[in-house]
Amino acid sequence: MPVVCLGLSHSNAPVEVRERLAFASRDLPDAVASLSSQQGISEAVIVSTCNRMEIYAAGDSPSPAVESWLRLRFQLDGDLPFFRHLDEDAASHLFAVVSGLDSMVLGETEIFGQVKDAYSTAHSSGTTGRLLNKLFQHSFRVGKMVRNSTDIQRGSTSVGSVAVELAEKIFGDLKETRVMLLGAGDMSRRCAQSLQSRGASAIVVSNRSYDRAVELAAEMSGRAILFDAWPAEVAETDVIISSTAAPHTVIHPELILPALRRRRGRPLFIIDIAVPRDVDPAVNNIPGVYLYDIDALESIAGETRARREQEIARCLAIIKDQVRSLPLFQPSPDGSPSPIHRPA
Amino acid sequence: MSPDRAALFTATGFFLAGFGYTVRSLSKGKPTATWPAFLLLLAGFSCQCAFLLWRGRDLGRCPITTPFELLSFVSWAMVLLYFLTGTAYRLSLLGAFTAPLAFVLQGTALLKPESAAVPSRSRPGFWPEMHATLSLIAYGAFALACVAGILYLIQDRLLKRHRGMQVVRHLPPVHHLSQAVHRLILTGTIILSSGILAAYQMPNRPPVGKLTFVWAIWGIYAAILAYDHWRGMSPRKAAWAASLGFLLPIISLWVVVRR
Repeated sequence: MPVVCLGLSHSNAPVEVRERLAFASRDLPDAVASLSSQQGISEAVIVSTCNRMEIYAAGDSPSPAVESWLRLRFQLDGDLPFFRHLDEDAASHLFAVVSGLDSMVLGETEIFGQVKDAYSTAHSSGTTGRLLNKLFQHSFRVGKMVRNSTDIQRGSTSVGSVAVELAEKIFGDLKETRVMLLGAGDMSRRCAQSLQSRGASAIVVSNRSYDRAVELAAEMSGRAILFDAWPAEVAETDVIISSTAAPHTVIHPELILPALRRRRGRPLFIIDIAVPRDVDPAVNNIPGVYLYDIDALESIAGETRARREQEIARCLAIIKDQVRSLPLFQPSPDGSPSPIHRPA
Repeated sequence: MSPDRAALFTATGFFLAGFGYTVRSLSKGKPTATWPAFLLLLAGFSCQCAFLLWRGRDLGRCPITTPFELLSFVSWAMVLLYFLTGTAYRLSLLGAFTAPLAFVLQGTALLKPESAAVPSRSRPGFWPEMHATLSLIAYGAFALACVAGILYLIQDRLLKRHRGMQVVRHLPPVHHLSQAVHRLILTGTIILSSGILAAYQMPNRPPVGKLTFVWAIWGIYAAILAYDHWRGMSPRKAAWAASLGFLLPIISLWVVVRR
């Protein structure tokens, strides 16, 4: 029985197309049940995320059946913007997706859980059988194998995640960490949210416009202070994220040094994401103070991305081996295709 | 080979294997804080305990009568303190660096000619034995503080220079390391204070030169703690002090071992 993978992703379809052909998670059980009831399809799984919509189907003639079902459901005319993979290619594609090789952020891990959820939905809707069960369960093993034996998921690839990783290498657990935002820009907010998601507790917002500080502080369950009051807070702060629109530096060693003694050796992490920079580079020379500007953070994220790119070949080799060893597509000993491997 | 010596040989082998495993993990960019590394250290520690037990039974006292035994005892104290502090503060990599130091100490001990000699029973009395034992356990704490201090200096330098994220990821957080340095110095100083007090209870007071040297070691670490308490010492200075301060215990051990 042939297996087909038909779908679209961020690599071949813009967001306007993807959002039109997406399935809401609440609709997935009904959709997958409707799909598998089509003639020519006996098993089906629908993976629908913000970056992709893929249908895996097995049956006597799954490819035309999936196509006509999609045309009908989304009222599509003319050429369809879908890629199409058969048998080993479909397996290979699924393994690459689960391993994060086909993701917008190379090596990200969220897709693993999303595919697992999609499979689980299909499984509980009774639309998976022997073939897709084996294929998906094997794909999860491959995803783990790729993650454990390569560096494809190691390190951080965005400014926010690099900031979190560095904070953890400075403080360890972020649960007791106190964060101060200087300036209420969007990027500093996202950075603070990343730290909050890892446990950072108290958030203090200081901005030239006090109203904006109050607004952002309320959004982040924090506390707003007047802009002139921030130096007095340094002794009680662990991470300062600065992104003011000031044309000159606002954080100088003489503003930091008096607070250090009261910190009793606790380090201070300063993230300067403003351009022009907010923090005098001399601040980094103070013992126990770690200053990272936007270039330093971008550079670390870039290094990780480059290292992940270098890992692709190793990942593909693992996937190739795993597809070859998959019993679903192995030829019989006499060389003829196995009963479950026929052209679509 | 006597069973006690065989146990020490085995322990030394486990520490070498633990160090080799860490180096291999680091070079492959894999996490080092893994069960194999911990188990190798634990296996080494168990063999050390067996060595001290056998040796102590033969001697009828704490086995710190020869340079061979002294080095082995310091190595044991260091690994013991690692299990008490390193695991509690999630400083797994501290164990990775404790393993090579334990290997060097025990390797040196096993090379000493008297390591093969049959131990002779002697009973120096409670206070001399207490003084020596406590002083050596304190040295173990200072050795571990030295290791934590060196790790802190490496991690601090890499974080300051925004370089070597591959290495940074594998080293413990700087704050944990600076806390470990402080706690190990405090622990070592308290234990050494007890060791010095024990020396003053001995019926025959140790030679003035020896006591002065022990006081000097105590003074250095007590000064670090006092400075930190009253003036607030930066973690970097504390790490340097812990790393360089261990030179004095090393010298005292070297003097004893050369005898």
